[in-house]
Amino acid sequence: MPIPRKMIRPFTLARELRDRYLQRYFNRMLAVDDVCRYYWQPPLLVIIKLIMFFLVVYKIFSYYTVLGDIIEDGFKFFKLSAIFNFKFPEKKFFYSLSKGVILLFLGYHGLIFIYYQITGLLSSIAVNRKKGMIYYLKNSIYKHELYSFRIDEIKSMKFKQIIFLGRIFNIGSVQFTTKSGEIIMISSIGNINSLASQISSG
Amino acid sequence: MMPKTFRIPYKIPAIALVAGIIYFLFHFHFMQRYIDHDEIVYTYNIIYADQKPFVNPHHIHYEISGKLFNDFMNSEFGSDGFTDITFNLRLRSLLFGAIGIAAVIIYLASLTGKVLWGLAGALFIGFSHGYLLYAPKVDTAIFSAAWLPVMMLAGHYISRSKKWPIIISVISGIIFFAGVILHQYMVLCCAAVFLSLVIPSWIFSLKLKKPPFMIKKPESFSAIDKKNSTRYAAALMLTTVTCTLTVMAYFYSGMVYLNLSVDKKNTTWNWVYKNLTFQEWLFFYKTSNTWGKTDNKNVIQESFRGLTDTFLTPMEYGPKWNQNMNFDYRLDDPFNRKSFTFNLLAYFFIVMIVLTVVLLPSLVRRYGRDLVSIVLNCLLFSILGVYWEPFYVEFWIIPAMTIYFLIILLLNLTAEKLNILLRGFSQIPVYAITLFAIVMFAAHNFKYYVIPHSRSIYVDGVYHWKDDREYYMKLTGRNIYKHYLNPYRDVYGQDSHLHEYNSKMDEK
Repeated sequence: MPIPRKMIRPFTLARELRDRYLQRYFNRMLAVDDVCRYYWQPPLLVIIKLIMFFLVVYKIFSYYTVLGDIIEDGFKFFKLSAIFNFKFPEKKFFYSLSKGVILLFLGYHGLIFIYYQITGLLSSIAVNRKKGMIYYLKNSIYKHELYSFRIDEIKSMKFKQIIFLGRIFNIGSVQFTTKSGEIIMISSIGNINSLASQISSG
Repeated sequence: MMPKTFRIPYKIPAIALVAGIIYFLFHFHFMQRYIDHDEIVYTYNIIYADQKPFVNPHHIHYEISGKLFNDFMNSEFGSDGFTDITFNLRLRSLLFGAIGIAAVIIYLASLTGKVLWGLAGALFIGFSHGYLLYAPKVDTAIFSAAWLPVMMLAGHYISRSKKWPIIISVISGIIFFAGVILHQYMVLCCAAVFLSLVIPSWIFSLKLKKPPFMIKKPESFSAIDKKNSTRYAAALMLTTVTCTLTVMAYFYSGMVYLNLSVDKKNTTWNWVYKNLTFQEWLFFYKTSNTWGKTDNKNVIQESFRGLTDTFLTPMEYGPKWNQNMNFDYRLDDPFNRKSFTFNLLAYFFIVMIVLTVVLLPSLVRRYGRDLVSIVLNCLLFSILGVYWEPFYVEFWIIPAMTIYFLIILLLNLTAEKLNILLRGFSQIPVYAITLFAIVMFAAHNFKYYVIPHSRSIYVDGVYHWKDDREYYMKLTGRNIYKHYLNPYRDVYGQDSHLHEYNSKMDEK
């Protein structure tokens, strides 16, 4: 029987894969039923953040000549070429050096940034209204961390949504303060209005 | 919830790196032109290192690595003019000097938690006369002095580690081995750090009486303080790695490279190690009667001379300056313009001693094992300095460094104690006093040591070769300077001179 041809966009496929993976993990770990509602960060947001990041990085990297000139001025301050017969580095060397320095700096922060974004993309929050539980799964590529806490134990909740971003992505952040004084903050959750109503209803 | 475990603290190492580069360039600009007996001997040992097997047990790396470094400079930067062996060796020493300055910043910043104290310590040490003298000199003292903060930092990481003390001990063992290779007497630092690690934890848990109603966060202990077995395992691993590598290096150098044996004297070749066994070679400075130049009658005066000169340059820098027992202190006239810096040093130290006595329990509680490590290093290297050559700067550099470490810890603690009175501004007055002291000491050493010794050629103690002037004068780098006799003519325009002290003395 021929396989029905269906247009699956790569973006939808990636989201489907992620959602199923997280749901399966939740089911296996906690035996949560289908009453659970899942919330995650919109993948589009992550992709936009990454594109913005690379644009900013490219812009910063294009200023390597400024840093190169500063390093060269610093080196020339010591007037070594007026004292010694040595051949000292020329402009090209300082530009290469400044490229290396910027690349090292941006590479370090860039890797951490991308790591955070992937962590955010693969993490999820689930609410089980029936059992009165909230679960948060932090999935940071090489390990899972599962937090679970009772809604009754929450002293106060703060839902924060920037109106502009809320209109486009319907995202926001949530902050729980437990009765024992712990503060738990989760940011960039999609469908935040639904999450708020799920937790506060009943 | 963002993971924070991946962040590597890089700001302090980055600041330390920049400070090290600036220190390197500063010395490059004011490259000293001082030549003495030791410098000539070491340079020629390196020149002939491939012709005569020469491995000094006192610092077995020195000649071989010097030769390698010079070859590297010739092959990689020879076309840029870096072909002068003395200058290349000076750059090698300077490279280590800059590493030492960077390590001091990281070490003190780790101990105090404030990078400014790290910078203050680096300025104190970097502009002390001993460090200024040896940083760009073809000699051995700078290697051990620069490696001291690295070794102490390794000990600090073992004592503060919460997760992997054994792995850090293994890495530290390799660092300690490198220290012993750089200078034989660094075994004293190994011993000091080892002792500071094995001391029982209860010694540091001294607590003053506190009010009964107090809410306190649970303290998180390091791994070696949590379990005695971890502490002993870390210390054992550190010792095993250091000893194994050191023994292997010495056996290879003595028995394989120099072909010495334990039971019979070497007679195969004519060189300084002829008629020596392996043991006699190992303690060569003892067997050749070079060890221990203490004059028992004047040991206190001589030690005081050596220690004072390590901090501040004597104002009359001339022949036998290091054996002149006339000091520049005028304690009865504190604001005497000529002696002001020396008086400031004296009064600064008196205040520090008083503060140490007053704040000793707090110091022990605040810095724990690191304080023990610094004090033990200071004591052991001071004993060595007194025994070896008390009147000379070379063996007082490490004690002076440890004294500056103690001063920085003390100043930081004082500022923290002032927090009760001054709230958020408590560090500022202490920083101001420290800055004043740094500026005064650095300006003094800059005026009396750096400027004259970079502009003029000082030749000292070359009586061995007084009939062959060219033998040592060709080490003064004629081709590397644009104007050999007046290198700063295009920069400052001043004249310079040639000073040959001992040669003139011998003529008289």
